[in-house]
Amino acid sequence: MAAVNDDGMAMTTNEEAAPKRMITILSQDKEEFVVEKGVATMATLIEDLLADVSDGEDKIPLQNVDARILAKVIEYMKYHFKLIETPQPEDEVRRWDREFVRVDKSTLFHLVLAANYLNIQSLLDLTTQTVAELIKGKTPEQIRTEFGIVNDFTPEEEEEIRRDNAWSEDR
Amino acid sequence: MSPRTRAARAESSGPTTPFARQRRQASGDSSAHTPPLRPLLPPGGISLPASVGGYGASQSAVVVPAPPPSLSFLADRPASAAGASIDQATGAVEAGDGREDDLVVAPVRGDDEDGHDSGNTSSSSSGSSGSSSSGTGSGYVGRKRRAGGRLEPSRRPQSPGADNNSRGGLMDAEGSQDNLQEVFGTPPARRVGSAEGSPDHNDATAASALAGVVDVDAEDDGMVADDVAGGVSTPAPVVSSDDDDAEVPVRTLPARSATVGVRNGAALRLPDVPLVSKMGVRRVADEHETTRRLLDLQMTGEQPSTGVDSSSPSGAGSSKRLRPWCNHDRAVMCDGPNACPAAQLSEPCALDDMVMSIPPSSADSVPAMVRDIRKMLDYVASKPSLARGSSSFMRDYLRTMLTSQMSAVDQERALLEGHLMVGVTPCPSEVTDDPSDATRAAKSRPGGRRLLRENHFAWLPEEITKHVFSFLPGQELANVRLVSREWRTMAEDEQLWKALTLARWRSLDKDAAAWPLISDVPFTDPHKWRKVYPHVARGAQWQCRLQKTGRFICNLVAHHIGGNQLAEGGLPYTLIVERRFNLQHLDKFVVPEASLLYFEPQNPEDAPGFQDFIKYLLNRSRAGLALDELRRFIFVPPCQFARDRNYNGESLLGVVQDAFPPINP
Repeated sequence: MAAVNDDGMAMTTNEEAAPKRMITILSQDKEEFVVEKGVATMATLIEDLLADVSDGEDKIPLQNVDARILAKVIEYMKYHFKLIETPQPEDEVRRWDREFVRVDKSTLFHLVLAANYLNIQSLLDLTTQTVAELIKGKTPEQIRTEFGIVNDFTPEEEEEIRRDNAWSEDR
Repeated sequence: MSPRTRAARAESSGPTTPFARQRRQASGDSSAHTPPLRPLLPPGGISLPASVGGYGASQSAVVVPAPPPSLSFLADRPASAAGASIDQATGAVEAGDGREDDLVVAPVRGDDEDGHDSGNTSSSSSGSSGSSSSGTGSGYVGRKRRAGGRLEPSRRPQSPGADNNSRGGLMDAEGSQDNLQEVFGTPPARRVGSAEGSPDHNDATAASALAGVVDVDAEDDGMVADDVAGGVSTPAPVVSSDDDDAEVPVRTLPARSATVGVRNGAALRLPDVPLVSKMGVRRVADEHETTRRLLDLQMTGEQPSTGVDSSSPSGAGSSKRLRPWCNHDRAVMCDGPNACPAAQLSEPCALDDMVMSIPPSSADSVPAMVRDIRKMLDYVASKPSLARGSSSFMRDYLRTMLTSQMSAVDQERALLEGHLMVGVTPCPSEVTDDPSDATRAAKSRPGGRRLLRENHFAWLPEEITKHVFSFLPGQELANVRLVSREWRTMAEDEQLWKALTLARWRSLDKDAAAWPLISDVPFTDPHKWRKVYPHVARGAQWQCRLQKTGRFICNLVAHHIGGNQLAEGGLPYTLIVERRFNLQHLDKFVVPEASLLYFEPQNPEDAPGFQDFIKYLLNRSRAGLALDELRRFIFVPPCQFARDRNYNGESLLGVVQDAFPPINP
């Protein structure tokens, strides 16, 4: 049996082994994640890949996502897949999502990339929105500091933009 | 050296003899009959020329009416040794490494060698002796210095000028008295500030130590006087030099060691430091001095200076015992653990394992945190006056420290993870794209540590960054244009501004005719969306529900495009078109200052009803009229009236005015 990374996954495997088709997702660093097909196909990329391969083949190697991030993504897919069967109040889902993206910056950005690569729109929206929250309310200088961005404007250019932005400050 | 003074010294050797009496006997100076000693010091000593050097200084010291009994060991050798050696002692103490032993050694070593030393090194040690903290006499010296002219850390002379030198000599001599008196017993409080200032923190800068001593002493003047008096009147336990070393009567008094322990708040350290203050100890310390100085410099990021270093005047035999990891930290910061002399001296760092995973250079490392915290403690210790006020500055410091560290930690983690995630698009695993930023970050850290700032956005394809931007409100989007040129380009993407604009005015991309109603931004402008957004964002708008008598037509959004602003509350939510009148009457009915509105269907599903309503009015050349108690709401389909108001489009305009036209019953 393929490696199972967390307890939840193992439970799912045991409980619903028989009827459901299981898909093995292989992370970039060769770690295997076994999930229901329904969970896996929350990622459009996997859905497309599965459509292309023959029925017997149920191992999907992912080149661009490492195990740590993939585990996180699968956590997301499983939760949201489960929501299809047992809907939760919207507040509850939002709360879960908020907790899900309460990660350090690096992980968050990797999740953005993974969501983009795996083509999971809802996860992409969730993560990019979270990134946007990191930007919101900060001055340009604070943003530069936060993300190590170099200010490459000339003072004149900066002044020009500021003048252009005057409308946004008197509100 | 006059024979008389020598004799005085010889006489004064009696351990248990009270100072005052000794002095009286020795010098015959009537003015010196009573304690305290300090005020009675003859000014003559001070005026001695500096060029005399240690000897001259000691002469001046000799002029002091009578040496304390504990100075008896000076009796059989040139008095210069007393001044010089004490001087050195304070210098040694100043290192702040809790080398009480050194301190004790110093008076002991009032021999030829020391006399020689005093000529050379005492220039540095006396120059910086003001910062001595843990030594017995050091506090006193510092205080005197201060009285003579406050020594700022920054201008601590590397080789003190003549004036300084002579003064130092005198004061050292003076200090030697006090020194010994302190040995007999000094109130613990006396040393609190300076003790915190340096002995516990071997990387405390000499400057802060100096500041600490000076401040403390300033506060303790009265107490010192008491001390002196006390020392004079109760010399008892001191002189009982039960030590086997004949040279060093004062040395290893139990009373003293106890006192020092308490005073410095560093009793823990005492067991480590051999109380037997032999010259050997001092030599060992000297051997380590270079090492320690080097480390100190690396710590502070300074360049090692080859000359006499006033900032770390003496050895650091105990530094490794105090804070192994800090030494280790320094070591790793430069050359790695194996290259660090201090690391070799000390037992293997207990943090080695941890260091494997978190480099000590990381802001996330324990040494880094310890060092930052110590920095604050050192600062607090250096400013005793702070102890009386609120501790809010400490909280502020900690907050700032944690905040800056957290961001650094985030970035460093990101770096580590960047290595793990090789392959996910372009993940620049190495620092930032721009070297100047890395340089700037490195400069901002003491010790030249490179603080790597990861630009996570560099990982993201442009369209994803824009997707991120799409979650920003307009003001924020305008704001991030100031971050960098790249961000400006991305944030000026018309699609972003179009989305923002259309979220507020849905039909604006279809109804070019509405543009003149909003601003003078032409519909053909390549940056029209970004340019028009501010106007759209500024305009008032309301949602409402349009009904024709009893029948729902559609949901509307009404944009204010001219005339008076609508009163508080804007439009009523439900507008019921009850009447119609001929479009020809519009010019007659509408008052000049009436509010002008632009209506659009709220959602796509509202469009059919909306269009039908316009068609209905047009077919009859009618304007619709809705009422509330005071106001008239006129719905104007495309017509000359609209064109006169700059609208050439197919949508519905509205007019809101008060009680006109009058309703005919």
